[in-house]
Amino acid sequence: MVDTSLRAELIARGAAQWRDPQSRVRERARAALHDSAWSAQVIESALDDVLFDLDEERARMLAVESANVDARPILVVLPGNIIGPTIASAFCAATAGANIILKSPGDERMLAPILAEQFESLGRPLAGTIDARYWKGGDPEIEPAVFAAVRKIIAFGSDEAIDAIGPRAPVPVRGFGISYSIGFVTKSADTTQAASGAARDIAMFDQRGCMSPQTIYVEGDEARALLFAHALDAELRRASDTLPRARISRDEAAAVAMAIRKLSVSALAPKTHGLDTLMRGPEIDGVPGYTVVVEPTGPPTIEGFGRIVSVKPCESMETLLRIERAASIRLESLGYAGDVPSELLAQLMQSGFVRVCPLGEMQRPPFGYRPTVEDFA
Amino acid sequence: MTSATNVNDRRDADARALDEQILRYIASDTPSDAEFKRLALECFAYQYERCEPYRRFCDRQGRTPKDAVTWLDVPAVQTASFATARLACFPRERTAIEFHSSGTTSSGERSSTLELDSPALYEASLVAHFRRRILPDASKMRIIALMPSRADAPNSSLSYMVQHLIDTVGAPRSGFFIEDGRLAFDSLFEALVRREPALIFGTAFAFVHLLDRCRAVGHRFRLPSGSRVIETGGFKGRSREVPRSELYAAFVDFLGVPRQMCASEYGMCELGSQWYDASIEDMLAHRASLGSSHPNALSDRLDLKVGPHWAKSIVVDPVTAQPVERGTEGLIHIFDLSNRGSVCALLTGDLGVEREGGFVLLGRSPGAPPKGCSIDADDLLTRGRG
Repeated sequence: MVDTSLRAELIARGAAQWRDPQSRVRERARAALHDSAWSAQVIESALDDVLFDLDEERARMLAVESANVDARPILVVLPGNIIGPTIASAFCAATAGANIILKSPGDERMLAPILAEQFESLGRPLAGTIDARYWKGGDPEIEPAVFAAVRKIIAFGSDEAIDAIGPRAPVPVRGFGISYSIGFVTKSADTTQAASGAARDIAMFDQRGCMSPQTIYVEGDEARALLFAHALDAELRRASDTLPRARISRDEAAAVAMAIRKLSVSALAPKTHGLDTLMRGPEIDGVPGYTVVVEPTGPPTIEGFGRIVSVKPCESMETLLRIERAASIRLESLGYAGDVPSELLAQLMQSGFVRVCPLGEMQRPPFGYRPTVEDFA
Repeated sequence: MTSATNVNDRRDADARALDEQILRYIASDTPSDAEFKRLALECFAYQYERCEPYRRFCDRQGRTPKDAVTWLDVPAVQTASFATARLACFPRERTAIEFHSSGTTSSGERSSTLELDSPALYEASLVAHFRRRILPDASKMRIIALMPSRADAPNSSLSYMVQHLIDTVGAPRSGFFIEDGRLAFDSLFEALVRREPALIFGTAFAFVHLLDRCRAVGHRFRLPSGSRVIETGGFKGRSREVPRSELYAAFVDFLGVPRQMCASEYGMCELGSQWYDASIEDMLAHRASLGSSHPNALSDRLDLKVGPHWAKSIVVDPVTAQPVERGTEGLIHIFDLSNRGSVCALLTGDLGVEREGGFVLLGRSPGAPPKGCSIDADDLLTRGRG
């Protein structure tokens, strides 16, 4: 019990260090991520958010719930496209009392060692619980030995990749596969406020994570969707300065250009009042920094990255439920703006969304959401 | 056997009139660039007027029929747009045939649809080009099709296409050898030991299964002289992937078909025309063969995709969509007159390099990265796969 209490105290202290922009871990993370594709503002914002709600009380509550006894480590195969899961995994494991191997992605190998060192400096019982590693994928000299030594694997990856781990790993595999998120703006929502929240959710990590909205449905007719889209255009233009888009490769620029050409066909016809249905931000790396398109209602349009968002009119949230049920994609979060009756929120959760939250909060999940503390139990 | 051509003609008078001109051009032995240009611009005007999403796209590009001087001035839609908009120049009730690309995937990629108001252009284009590139030496040949039949896959353009080839240039005992989604090995092996030349037309993944079975049971066929292999379609995650060179080497080893008599077909649901490797045509014309004094010329054209004279191709920059210098990698941009009923000018998602007489296909544009938190596990696993 003493151990749990001390652990919770150290977890809270460690989390506070990540929230403090002046702390040593933040300085080190800032320096380590300086050469990454992400802008400094996006990195700072992500680090501000990742453990925003992890205080001592919460840590103590979760730690008591899941006291861990198995000393064998859990392997976490980290994603390369966003940084939140690295820090979240370390603290979830600490909360569960688990030892972990953090396998860094090829293009970001610094965060895991920073976390390991932070835990060392925090002292026991956190010290020594993180083994920060990197190896080239599939290395026959390393991978089989690691797989044999762990009691579980937590992997962020495509469904196909996660399915392929099973036969090679003699332990349970918990996969976080590909999924997508959408937004919904109710009739009661303040359009500017909704657009501001949506712009933040889109701008953080440029929609590369699964919690960023790809399509935003606007309750009402095409005119209302068009007005929201123009408000979103203005907010994304602002976000181009406050949360600049990441640098992109030539291949990614090509993908953005191809997506925009495709959307130029599916966009609604511009209305007679002169508002366009396809808005593009200032160019970066040869392609627009963001794109907002108004399309007819239908299944979600998903481009996956590049701040490309589709806005679609939607008769009602019940219609959204029908669209969602018909869509053959795995849905992650629904971000909403305006009033949504609680029974409808419950229905949405039952219908397949893992999380329902206000627009603007989609990229700011609570501690222990993905992965969960239980994943490390 | 079901006839692929058993389809109603639902064209209106304008469509018929334009098709008549295009059919004459397809049949021409001396096609002129001037006539291609005239037909291309006429098709553009026709499609701009009748296909509303396309007109909107052109307007956004600032290009209307008034501004177009050559086919290169005609705005090309991304082939992916066939999944998100109805690109047809006729009302839905006039749709006679509908082709769908491979189904919706978990990544949210939707299926493309091509609607035709008549099979006339599609079939004329198919047969004329096939005869020229693949079957210039015979009026008919036994076709062994390794894909689902038209009855089993009614919306597959490939099944339609091969059914029509069987109906028009197929010798007796042609047929489909996939039943209930599986290769019918017994009847297929019987077909492969017949003493008459055969043209085996199949998807890459079907060939992989066939060759795996040949290996497993120790069969090495020696198909009669004149036999040929046409492979198409890539793998699409449906079987283990095999490098192209390995697959073609296996055609030689296990089917006994010379490498030069094996070719790849490049086509897609959104396109009326097809492209074929120049290898068979070259071999049959004695322009290139193994042991010739120009081995490089042979290898260059083995992978050269050659299109029909009624479909032009260029390679463009993937970002700007502007033509690149010959030899530079880019996206394949096509203008296909046989697409009169939808959109003739298409920008594919495929990378290629322009060469004399056609292009060399390099594969799919890498496009967007995996969506979701997915990069490293993919890397970890794909490298580890045997």
